Amino acid sequence: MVDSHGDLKIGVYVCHCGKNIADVVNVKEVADFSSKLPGVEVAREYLHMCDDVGQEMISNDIRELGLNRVVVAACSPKVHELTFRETLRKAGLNPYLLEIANIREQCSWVHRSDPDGATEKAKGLVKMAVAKARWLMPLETKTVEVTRSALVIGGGIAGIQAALDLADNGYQVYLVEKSPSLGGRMGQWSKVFPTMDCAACILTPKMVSVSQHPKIELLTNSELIEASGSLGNFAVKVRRRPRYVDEDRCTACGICAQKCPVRVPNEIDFGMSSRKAIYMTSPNAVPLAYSIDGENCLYLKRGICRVCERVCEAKAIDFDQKEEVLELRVGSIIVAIGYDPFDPTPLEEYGFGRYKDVITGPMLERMTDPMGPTGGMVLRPSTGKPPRKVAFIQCVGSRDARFNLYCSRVCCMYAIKDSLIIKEQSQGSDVSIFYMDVRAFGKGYEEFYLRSQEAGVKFIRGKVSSIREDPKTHELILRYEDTLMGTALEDSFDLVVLSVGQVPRADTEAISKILGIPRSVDGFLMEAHPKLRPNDAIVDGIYLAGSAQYPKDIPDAVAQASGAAARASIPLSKGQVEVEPLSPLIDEDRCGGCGICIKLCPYGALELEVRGDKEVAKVDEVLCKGCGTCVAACPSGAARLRMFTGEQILSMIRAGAG
Amino acid sequence: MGREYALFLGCLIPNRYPGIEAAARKVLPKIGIGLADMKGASCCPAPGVVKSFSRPAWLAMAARNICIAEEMGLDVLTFCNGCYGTLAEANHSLRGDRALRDLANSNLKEIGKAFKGSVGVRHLAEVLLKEVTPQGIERAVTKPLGLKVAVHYGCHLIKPRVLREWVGSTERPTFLDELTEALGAESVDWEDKMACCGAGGGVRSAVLDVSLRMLNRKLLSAKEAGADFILNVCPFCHLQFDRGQVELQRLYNLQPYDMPVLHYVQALGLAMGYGPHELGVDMNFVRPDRILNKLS
Amino acid sequence: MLPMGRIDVMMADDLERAFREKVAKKFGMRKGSMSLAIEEAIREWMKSEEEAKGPEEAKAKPPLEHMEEVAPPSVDFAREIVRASGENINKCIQCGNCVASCPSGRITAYNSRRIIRKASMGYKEEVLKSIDLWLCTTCYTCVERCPRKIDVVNAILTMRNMAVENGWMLEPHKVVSTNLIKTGHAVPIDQATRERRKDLGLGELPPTVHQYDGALFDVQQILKETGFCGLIERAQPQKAASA
Repeated sequence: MVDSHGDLKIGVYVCHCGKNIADVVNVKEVADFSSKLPGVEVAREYLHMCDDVGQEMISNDIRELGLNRVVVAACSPKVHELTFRETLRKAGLNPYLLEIANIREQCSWVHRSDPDGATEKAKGLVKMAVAKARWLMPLETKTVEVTRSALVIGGGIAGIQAALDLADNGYQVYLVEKSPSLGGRMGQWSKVFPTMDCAACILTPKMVSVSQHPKIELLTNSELIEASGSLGNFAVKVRRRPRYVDEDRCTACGICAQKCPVRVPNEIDFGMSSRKAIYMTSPNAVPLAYSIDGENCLYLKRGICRVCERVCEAKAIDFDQKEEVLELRVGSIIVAIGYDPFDPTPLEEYGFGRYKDVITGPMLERMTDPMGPTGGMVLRPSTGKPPRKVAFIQCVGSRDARFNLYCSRVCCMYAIKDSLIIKEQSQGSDVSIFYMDVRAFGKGYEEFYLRSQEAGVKFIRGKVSSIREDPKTHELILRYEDTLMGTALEDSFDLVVLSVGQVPRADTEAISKILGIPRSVDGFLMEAHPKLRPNDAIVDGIYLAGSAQYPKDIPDAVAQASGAAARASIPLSKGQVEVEPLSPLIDEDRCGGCGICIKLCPYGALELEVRGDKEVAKVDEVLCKGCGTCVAACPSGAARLRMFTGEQILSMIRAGAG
Repeated sequence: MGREYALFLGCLIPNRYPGIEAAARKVLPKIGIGLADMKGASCCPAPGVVKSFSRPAWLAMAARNICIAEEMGLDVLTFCNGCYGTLAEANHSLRGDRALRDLANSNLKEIGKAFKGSVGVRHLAEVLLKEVTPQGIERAVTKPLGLKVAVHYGCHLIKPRVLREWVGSTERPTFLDELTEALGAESVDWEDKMACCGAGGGVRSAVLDVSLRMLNRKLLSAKEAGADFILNVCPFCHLQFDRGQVELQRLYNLQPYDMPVLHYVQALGLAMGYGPHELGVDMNFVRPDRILNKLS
Repeated sequence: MLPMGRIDVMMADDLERAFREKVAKKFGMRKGSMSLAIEEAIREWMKSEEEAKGPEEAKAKPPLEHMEEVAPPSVDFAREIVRASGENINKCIQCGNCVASCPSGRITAYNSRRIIRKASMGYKEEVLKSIDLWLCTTCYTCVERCPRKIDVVNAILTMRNMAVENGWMLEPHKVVSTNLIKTGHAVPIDQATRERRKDLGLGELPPTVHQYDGALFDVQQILKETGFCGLIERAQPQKAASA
């Protein structure tokens, strides 16, 4: 290994990145400039430094010229830092003797209109990188054992799939689900597009597999409350709320619910029906057991009643159950918390909440479910009779700068599906879909769209501007422009369905904070790279599946879940992870034990330890993320980041300013 | 415990429906709204016409008017939706956009004025809602109207909402209904309640029959709802409903609608016991006999 | 062969009524009378257009055109509008919510969506010379509801400004503007109102520019400075035909 105070021999490699950099920055000029910088032994330029030829160029120079530092001026280190570190390592040089100057994302891509300026800036960036290179020191990674288990948060179709894949791979999985049962949104739908499969029929076998799988521990009525650690070693706390029913004894006979005196609106039916304080979310619930809603149970709130306990023949009611907090250690985490349907109440022009017969797509879905509030029949809420003329309004709350700019993907297809169901149920009914664009992008989707047109569903291109109720007939009058004909019209319907999109769940913010994973501008959880790493969260070791990451249909949710499970398996199968030398070194002689760093560390990675007659700060390298807060705060300069020392940063500043 | 405002009259109130001005001068001081004249104020200028022809001219004229109030050190108060639309938007633009302000001030310099952005622009409805409050109005009412009213908000009072956070909803606002019910009247639900009266944007001046056809729907809807009169807070809407009613009737040879029209200050005046003549109520084209009979 | 051409039109109510009366008188109330009469009217109109052009040109064209002839698109028009209004009309996805919200659109062929479309496609003359540009009451309902948050009113007003710059303006508006320049009020006081003011105990003239000559002079200065007077002078008003 080379000592950092020996003769400096820096190799500078300037990348064209095809045309991405070369189109704007004069790469040759930058290479020439670099060759004259102090300590630079050689400066080269090449089309794609990251390809084999480019990498060989570097390794050859290391071997033949005895380079002891490498500067690569190319794309963001986020893209290829690991690639080039590997190149150094293979050539026998410590991988941390590499410095990257980002002359793409931070230069050529943002200064397209000023090539001269961009070239000067690129030179400046390389000069700074070369200055820092002098102060780089060889560093070692640490190898840590991985906890060979995984946490899956969310028991919808995505979470179920991910859990099954991980468990089938042999890993222990903890599947945490907030509600009393698995199933999620798919469990609320009756038929799925484009196959018109019965959702429960295809979902239930998977739910049962989860409950029977020896490697899956299913924790329902549970939620994540705390998390710390990093890839391969996460420490999480899961709060398990009491069900007050013994899952093993309950036979799901339902007598308790019959006798329970408390009625509350049923969330599963979006308020269109009611349930009791003791309830099951569906007849196919997994676990197949009742659950008592602590907010509404008379005994739990006011100490009276207990009828359920009296009538339960299996003696399954147990009011002594207590809340538990489970502490688990896992190697990977998959977040599959799903979505909420958009609430269209703010669109006052549509009258949702004022007019009974204006409903949402999910509400209509519940009506088509034989286990739903209307026994599977689509009925007008105001009269309880089947509708004769139905309108679907698309893009409600989606593709709308006033609410959510994104497209929710599934609404065109579910409207088409529901319109076919209505056509089947009420022969001779008139169904119209008011759209801005029809998005039938998936396998079998365009064919499904065609099928609906053949069945007589009308497609009218025009965003409905307002809905009002005819005071005499109580029909709903829609005002719209048929843009393809260019005429503004009004027409009346007896049922209007607002095709609302998907929005991030209300608890997305909490999960984002607990896990430290950021959200995208649209509010969904952010993926590490939109093209190349769609299943990874930004934080290593945490993965995303399902609509938690972005609205999607079931096939995509399942595909992503399997993808996330595959990604999550990598550290688990490796069994070990390399911990980067991110964490600071604490100079124990300088450390005065003041404890400021401990209070400031956002990851709880520091604590005080006794050293002889004083206390000093100690870093947990697994929890530490290298943010540098402690370094900045330390009054005695005892904390130093190994990858960003004071000398390194100052040298860059001097080079940049000089 | 009142407050004084710089009264911006505009064109239509002083030059066509002075009853509204007379009503305001009598009634508003009694509920704590002091009025100081803006001497030398001009057309705001009308948003539908001047702004359509030249934005720089519109901005400069509006700035000049606001300067008069700035020199008085008082917020501008208007009871015309159009003047409100113009002055509030101009004030907001000039305060927020340096380039626009410099441009306007370069014009104002020639006449010895400079826009500073030191005062606000308020519509009477906002002041009544926030400062007097419906309860305050109820207290001042001595002769509750006991009538059915078709409340007409108009357009520039509430839209675009981005400059008028105080209005709440633009699809279903409630504040003017509350202020009307404080007069002891019943605000009826009428089908085209929130629709435009049809006068604005230069439409009434240039394409009268189109504007009247829009008016027609409003009148039919008010009648169907059983309203005794239409209440407005804008003299242009007032003119459209009043004179427009008669024009419509003549143009298409229709039966008279016989739908009286009152500006809020006139209705308030009646509810506070003032006579119809001193409020200019009998100076409308449409005779108010129907409501006056019900009132007495 | 049966005639297969078909045109659906919206027209002024009074025109429609008058036409129907005349048709009934001439052809009776038989089925097909309307079609006959309309065809006759169209042919008459086409003939008079050809005659106005002159015999040479009349020969060059086939009698019935199926495609509207429009001036070639101007590449800069959309960019001009975006720059002048600050409104990016290219964001429009033509959903039609604006038309459905429009009070004018309800009773005329005025179609704000089409105007934005034509503008963003660069049909400058067609848009700026169209009377449709002047049918908007600026009620802002479309602006409140547009899913792309396009301030349609702002775009229309910008196009109106551009039309007036090019000298295209409606006659009654020229009159209103002239009043404004002369008196400082778009609607100046009249004799009847002076009397009413006295009757009501108000000053005969309001404390506006009507009373203060110095203020009126200032207003006129501004109108001159900002080029407003020049604009109005140069305007060649079009006939405000019924829409």
